[in-house]
This record gives sequence, C-alpha cells and structure tokens, in this order.
Amino acid sequence: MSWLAKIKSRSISVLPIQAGGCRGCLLQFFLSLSLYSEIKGITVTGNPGQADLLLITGCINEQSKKAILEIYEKIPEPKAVISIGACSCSGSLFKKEGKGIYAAEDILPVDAWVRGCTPNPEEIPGTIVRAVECAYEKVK
Amino acid sequence: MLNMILWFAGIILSVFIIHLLISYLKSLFPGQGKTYILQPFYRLMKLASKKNAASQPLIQWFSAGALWFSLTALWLTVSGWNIVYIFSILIIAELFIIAGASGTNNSFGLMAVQRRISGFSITCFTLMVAASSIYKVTGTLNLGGILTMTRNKLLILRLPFTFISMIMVILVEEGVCWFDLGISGKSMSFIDTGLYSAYNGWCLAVIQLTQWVKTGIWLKFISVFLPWPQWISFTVSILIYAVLMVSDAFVAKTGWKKAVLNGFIWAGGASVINYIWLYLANI
Repeated sequence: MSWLAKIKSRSISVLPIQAGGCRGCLLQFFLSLSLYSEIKGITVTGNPGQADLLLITGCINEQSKKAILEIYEKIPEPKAVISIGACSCSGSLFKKEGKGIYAAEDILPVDAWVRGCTPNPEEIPGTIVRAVECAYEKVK
Repeated sequence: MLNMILWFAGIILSVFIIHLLISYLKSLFPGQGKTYILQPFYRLMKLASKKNAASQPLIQWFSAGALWFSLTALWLTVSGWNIVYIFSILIIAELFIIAGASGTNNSFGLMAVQRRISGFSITCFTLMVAASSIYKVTGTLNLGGILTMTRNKLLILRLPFTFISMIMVILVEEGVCWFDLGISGKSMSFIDTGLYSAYNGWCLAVIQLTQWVKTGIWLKFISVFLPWPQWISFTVSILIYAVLMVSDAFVAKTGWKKAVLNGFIWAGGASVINYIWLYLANI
C-alpha cells in the first residue's frame, strides 16, 4: 500500500445509517470508537459530502432503501460501504417474514461486513480502516 | 520584501501548527475520538485528493475565490495596508463562502447560511467601531503606521475593550465557546458543518485553507494591540487563541439566537464602550 493512501486513510469520516431495527449495532459502533484507542482518526459526520465511508446498520426496507441510495450518490469518490450486524448483512430473521426487506449487498456494492447480533465492537474500527484503504487502492 | 514574504508564510504555517496542537489536545479529553497529532494535515490531504461531487455549478469558483481573496487580505495585512481596505477584502471572501453555501438544496445548509450571516453582522459592526477607535488614538488606519505607534501610544492601555472585542470577533468567526452559532443546544449535531455542506472533496480542502488564512489575519490584528516586538506579540496572540479554542470543550452551548445576542453584547458592546470612553476621557 502506498504511503499516500496510508496518509489519506488516517482521517476517516464515517456516515452511519440506521436503516431500521433495534439500534444495537449503532450503539456498538459508537462504543468501539470510545473504547479502542489504538485505532485513531475516525470521526462521525452527518454530511454525505464530507463522508468517506457509509456504515449501514439495521434492516433495510423500501423507504430506507431509497434514502440510502440517495445518500450513497452524494458521497464523493473514493468511498467505501460497510455493513454492520446480522440485519444489514443478511436481512436476519426478518427477511423470512416476507418481501421488502433487503440486505445491504442487495442494493449497494458492500466492501466489508461485520456479522453478529450484536456485532463485536472490537472488529469495527479495524474493518472501517481496511475498507477505506481498499477504496483508495482501487482508485490507484 | 523578504520580511513580508517570511511573515506571509510564517502566519499560514503557525496557524496550521496551532490547529494540529488544538486538535490533539481536544482529542485527549474524555469521551472524544482519538486522533493523530497530524490529523488536520491528513484530513486536508484526503480532501484534496477527493473528487468534487457537488451538483450545483460554480461551486469550485466560489471556493477558489474565497481562498484568493483571503490570501490577498493576508498579503495586504503583512504589507501594512489600510485596515478598512483589508476588512473589505475579507468581507468579499466571506461572501464567496456564503454565496456558495446558499446554492445548496440542503435545508441544513441554508439554515447554516442564515446563522453565518448573523455572525457576520456582529463581525462587521465590531470592526467598524474598532477601526474608529483605532483612528481616534493613532490618527491613521494603515496597519504599518499603527504598528509603529503601538509601543509609543500603548494601544493595549488605551483600547483594552477594543482588544477584547477583537478576541470575541475571532470566537464569533470560528463559532466556538459562547458564540457557537453552528452547533446549538436545540439543533441536530451535523449542523456544525452546515455552512460547508455545499462543499466537498477538493473544494472543501480549499475552504479549509481559507479558514486558516482568515484565522491568521485575525491573529495578526490582535497582535497589533500588544506592545512587544511583532513576533512576540504574534506568538502571544496565538497562545490566547489556543487557550480559547481548547476551552471550547468546557463551555456549555446555548441556542443560536442566544449566541447571536451574546456576540452583539460582548463583541459589539466592548467595542462601543471603548469608543465612548475615548471621547469621554478625551484621549
């Protein structure tokens, strides 16, 4: 990995989206930022124009799908998408209930997944950094 | 000429370094995200390499124009030009940023523009009164002339409230402490970057540079009031700025309308008090 890509991936703005569900995954994400100080430089933003990574949690339904696609379009390249938790990774048990529930990879090109209900917060910061590094590598 | 070039480069570099320090110190507080020491530099590099995904036209020109005019104002500042002329150019730079931001379709961006204009009116009023007070004491509005008289006339003793109002202006411009027009207690957290919501990618990097240059100009203005040699005065003004920026982490936030009122009372009020005092004491 080039030194320039490494430098650029030391400042990561994450745009978290709660697509639907219990919010447990989102809590784990915020917990991971405050607990694990060896991973630095990750900030949370609410502005798609300033984001580098789209973090999707929860079950995606028809309404949230439309919003997520709209937000994804507004994030400037290079960008990465990660899916956190069982609901956004696979639709979990809610997918069995009927149509209209999507996994993140059904609607967007997902770069990384952190599975589990709820996901392990230790894995989240490392996954974010690696996903963004890969996005910069792809551009190169 | 060499002296001016050194000051020009030195001001930009010193503001950059002080932002590295402030960013790192703030990250050490409990509950804050951990950052690298060079975090603002990494962010700038990242933004500069990103594409601009803005949908509205002319956004690149607005950001480039803002940087151009702020650099011009900085050059005129180190050259010792008329302060009213420098303020005018700074106002143009600010208007470029506001015009770019108002082009966004984002309602939060438009809300941020409204708040920025409120802050801008505080700055303009305070500077207008401050310039009158400075002229009353020194008889000149040229920055070079004021600098030569700083020690003889002891500006800090004759214009103490104007000095305080200039510090308040910096806080209003940066939107910190009691003058946080961006993040207010009643708004959503992502309002803090609302003014820049129209900018992204390399345009945002340019706006970030503009912000640093403007901070450098304000710090140079503050240093004019201090009686020591120029570089010592500038270092002192940087330290004052750093302390205030870090203290932002401790200050309770208020609603934006209260922040605007605070701005007018503290910055505008201090400036007016000094102006009246000059006439009453017949200095």
